[in-house]
Amino acid sequence: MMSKANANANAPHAATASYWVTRLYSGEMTAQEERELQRWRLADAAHEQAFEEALAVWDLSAELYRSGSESHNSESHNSECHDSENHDSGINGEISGDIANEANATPAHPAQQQQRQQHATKATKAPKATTAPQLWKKLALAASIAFVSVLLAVNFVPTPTSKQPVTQTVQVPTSNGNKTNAETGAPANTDNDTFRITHQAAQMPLAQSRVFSTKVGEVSHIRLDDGSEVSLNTDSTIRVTMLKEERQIELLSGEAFFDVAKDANRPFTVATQEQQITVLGTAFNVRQRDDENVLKVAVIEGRVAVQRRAPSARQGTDTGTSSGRDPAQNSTPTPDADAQAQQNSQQSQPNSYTEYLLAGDIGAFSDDNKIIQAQQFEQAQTSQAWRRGVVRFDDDPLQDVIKELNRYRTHKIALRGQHTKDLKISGVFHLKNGDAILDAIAATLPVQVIKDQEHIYIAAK
Amino acid sequence: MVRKARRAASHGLIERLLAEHTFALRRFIRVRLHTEQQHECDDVLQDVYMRLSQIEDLPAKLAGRLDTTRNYLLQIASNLIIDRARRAQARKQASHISSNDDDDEVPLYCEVNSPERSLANKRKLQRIDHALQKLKPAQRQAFMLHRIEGLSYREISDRLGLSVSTIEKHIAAALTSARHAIAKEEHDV
Repeated sequence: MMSKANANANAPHAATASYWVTRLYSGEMTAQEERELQRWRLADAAHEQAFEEALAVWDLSAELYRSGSESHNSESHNSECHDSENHDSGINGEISGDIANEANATPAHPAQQQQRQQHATKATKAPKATTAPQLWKKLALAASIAFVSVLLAVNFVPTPTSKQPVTQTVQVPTSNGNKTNAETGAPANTDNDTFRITHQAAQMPLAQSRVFSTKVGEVSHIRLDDGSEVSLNTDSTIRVTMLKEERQIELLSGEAFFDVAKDANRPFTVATQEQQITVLGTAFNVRQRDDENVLKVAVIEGRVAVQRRAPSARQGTDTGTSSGRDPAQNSTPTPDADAQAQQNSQQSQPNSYTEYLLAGDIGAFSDDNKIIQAQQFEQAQTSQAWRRGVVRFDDDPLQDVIKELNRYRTHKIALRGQHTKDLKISGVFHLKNGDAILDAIAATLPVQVIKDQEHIYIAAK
Repeated sequence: MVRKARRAASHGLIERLLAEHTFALRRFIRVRLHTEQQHECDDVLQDVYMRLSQIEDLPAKLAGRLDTTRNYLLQIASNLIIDRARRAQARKQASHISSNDDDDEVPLYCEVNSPERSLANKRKLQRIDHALQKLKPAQRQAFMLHRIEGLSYREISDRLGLSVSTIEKHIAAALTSARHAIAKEEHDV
């Protein structure tokens, strides 16, 4: 890869060492990988030396930005996406590159900017170092840079409705408590296609139900007072009921992501029309869409059990709380109880099942079918990209892409012509970029975008 | 009073965070310190706890991180470990110098912040920078976004429209080139 003529004797191990350092900092190193790495380091002193040297360079590289190479840094951050090599991903970098570059040049979306601003401010205020001042400073600076740069990527707002002066939007909240009110109160004008992310914190008195929903084009992060976080995708509704012995969520429509605070004494259950999901671990995504007629559960961390709800219970309490009385569906998260629950449900309900999903698994459940894809870590991760206002496509038919984008739009896009449907597209779209997505599609595929007062069409050129 | 309540809530949150990511954190610390010693890991975890409790309004900060909380924690642990190593080295140097010169006033950071060292580091950083400039743009970008801006591989993947495994490969390749650039310098010198 590089010229190795002058490199020292450890050069052959440098690539392996780099691999391991990169794995270590992914945060996803497995126990098995740790053992492998340990074996490798102990096998040969040269291995260990290579690893230590790779770490030293890694650590040093964090100081690059203050070494007088700032001009290079800024250049490399926001340009040249076009040159990206896509050999093993198959994902087209051009589209996201175009949008990102456009986004860099435009003012921030109010809510986003305010939020980022807040984080940035907090980050720089944070260090109250007692031990090593210069390091805290460095960390805080890195954090604030990260937030600002995220802002750049996501805030292109082309719709005329959001032409407010930028200065108006740059307000730093004065106290921490104000955040919720300020942000949930914000989206007053909802009749446009401006994508927005909101935050809420929910006080939940015991045994009272509360309904949360999002409008089209809204993603909301809701922090429940047990510490769990629910993210609601566009046009979705849940009902939350906190009981002493159980935390019950009903997904009434749409898509939600759950990051569940562990509480062994209070199972966290998510009920949909057909299924009940009992959480035995932490984070997962549930998607139930009327037009898809399929429930999709993707597990990012931990373990969940998906059970078919008994037909009787379903009819009886269709809109009420889930069938909490049924012992088979109320299992506590211990292996024994799971097994027991599985047996019970199999005995009492011939039509029912319990399916266990582990991290990386994706389950698709419909009336008469279920498909479990195991170990789809990337896809499981992709399934929650919407939480950050991002949708990803990988060689997907334009028809599906438009369908997905329309979920976030009040002003829908229609496809004209048979063969446009099957055109394939890859890329990462930032929903905040609004109609810039259309320009990217038009630039990539042999199609044109036609807009009139009420409609947006995509047709063959 | 109010302040106290917020602190307490924050400690609950920190405990939850550390509990949730304890395996990943301990693994990271074991590998970085190259130790199997439980108590050494505990020490670093304790420092991470301290560090987190110094951050004002942690929940709001974490809300911005979403699913990259773990990367944030690893970054904190990483900085603390580097800091420890530097202090240990500085202490060693300090005691070495003082035994020779009978000088008790040697500051703790004398070696870390010495002009010689910063000069050497600066030269190395220039080498690294130079090596990165020769890489493919996507490789350089992936590396910089992670090392300088602190984005997780997943976030970089979203940003650049490349798969996470490609991002990992790019970052590893960039690190290898940086490593070679410095090895070359050491060889030349």
